[in-house]
Amino acid sequence: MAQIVFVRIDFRLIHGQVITRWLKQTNADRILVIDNKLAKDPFMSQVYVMAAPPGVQVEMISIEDAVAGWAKDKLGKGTILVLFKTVKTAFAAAEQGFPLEKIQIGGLGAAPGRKVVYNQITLDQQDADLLQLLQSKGIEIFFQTVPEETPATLEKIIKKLQ
Amino acid sequence: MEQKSWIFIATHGHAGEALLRSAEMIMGKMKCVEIFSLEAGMSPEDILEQIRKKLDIVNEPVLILTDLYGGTPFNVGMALSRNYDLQLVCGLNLSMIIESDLLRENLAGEELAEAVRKVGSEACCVAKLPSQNVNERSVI
Repeated sequence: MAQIVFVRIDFRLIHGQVITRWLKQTNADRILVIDNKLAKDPFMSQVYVMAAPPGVQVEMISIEDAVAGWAKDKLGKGTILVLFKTVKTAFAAAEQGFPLEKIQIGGLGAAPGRKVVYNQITLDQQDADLLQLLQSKGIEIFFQTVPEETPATLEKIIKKLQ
Repeated sequence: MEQKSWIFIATHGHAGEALLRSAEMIMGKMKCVEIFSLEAGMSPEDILEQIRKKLDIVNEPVLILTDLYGGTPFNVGMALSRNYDLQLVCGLNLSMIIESDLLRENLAGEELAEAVRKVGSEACCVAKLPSQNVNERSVI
């Protein structure tokens, strides 16, 4: 079975912070991007596959395939860093049975109706509600962009939204 | 060159803008250069759209210089290569900006990209320091 060592929600997916910091920090040798849209886009998948350093295997899969892969053989071998683009995707994956214990919120972009709550990370009420639901199921949610930062809890962040 | 390449510089933060100013201290005002700065909180789609708009306007071969392999400016360049005639080089340094301006007079496309890559790699070295040893110096 593979070991899921790190789960992050980041709208940029594989990018500078993930490659230069978290990949080294977590010693993962696989990056699993769970995203239904990207899983169907071979060109953009290739862009992200090529963005990873040598020796790190990148896979783009749908929520359904991720859940099936876990049920089959715990996703095979290695140490996995899981990336979701949005809170909604992570929530859907959890709903469908993908195992999540701890989720780092590392990047959510600006858009109308969204408020910056932590170091450029934004939230709206819908995302906040979904994160609270996830936490109520026993999944730890925290906000952190790079390793040097002290992680902020969901409770603390939610207060900033009100 | 029949069609001189444009140089697009895309970086995390305003590094590209600052490096271009530095390059212009040596080269004078550089033409056909565009700068794109990925600021904190900007999405990949934001910078992609900025670059796409310029690509539509310039309508010539473009060399995109980016800072970090696998970073967002680089990934966006990769994504845009689907629809545009562009070359993408990462590891940006001052030498690369200066030399790409000179090299594009005679080179374009992959040849230009490879030549700029070479310049950038060679610009990075450990200096062989002058000897600090007095005895050694007296021998000279």
